[in-house]
Amino acid sequence: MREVRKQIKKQLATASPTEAKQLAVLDDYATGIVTALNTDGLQPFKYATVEASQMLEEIEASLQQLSKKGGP
Amino acid sequence: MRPLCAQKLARLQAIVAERAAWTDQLAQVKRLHGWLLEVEHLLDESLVPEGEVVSNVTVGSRLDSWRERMAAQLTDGPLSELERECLTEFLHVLSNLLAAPGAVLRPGGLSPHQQRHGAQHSRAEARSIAA
Repeated sequence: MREVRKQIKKQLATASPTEAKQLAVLDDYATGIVTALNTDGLQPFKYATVEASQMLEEIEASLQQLSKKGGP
Repeated sequence: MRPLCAQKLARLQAIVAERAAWTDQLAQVKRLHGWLLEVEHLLDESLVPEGEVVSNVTVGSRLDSWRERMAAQLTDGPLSELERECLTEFLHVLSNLLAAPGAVLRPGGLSPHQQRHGAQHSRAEARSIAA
């Protein structure tokens, strides 16, 4: 995930304005995924795994939407 | 969408989809978590509908029913080895809890992380009290 974010940042520097906009959106998604993966739980009732999986489900649904629409 | 972005989008989707590998473990964790929440709902006075008066006896009997239902799952239910082990431990902890008078119903306004009056302090709490 970190590698993908690095690549996006690198490509942002040389991207055209339209491409840069789209890459910025994807970078936000990447940040969201990293955040989900780093979610902390609060024992005994908040499980990190459960929270992270809910977040990733939402991100996946949103990515699918993005892919269908072809843009943000 | 630009080809480069489409490629990155596909990569992100592939990364998110990798969690399919943990589906079984996740379902297991969610079931264990669900049991914990069920008991929490029985014990937490603040979750009781307004106007309903709940005594320790009522909570105790609801908890007993829950324990009986879950104990039956231990023998008849399609539980995995880990679930069986965790549920056994959980039921054991609950039966110890029920053995402590007054330790059943958590008064409203007390967070799940605070101890009931008279209940044993958690290790972390004991440390903070000692300090």
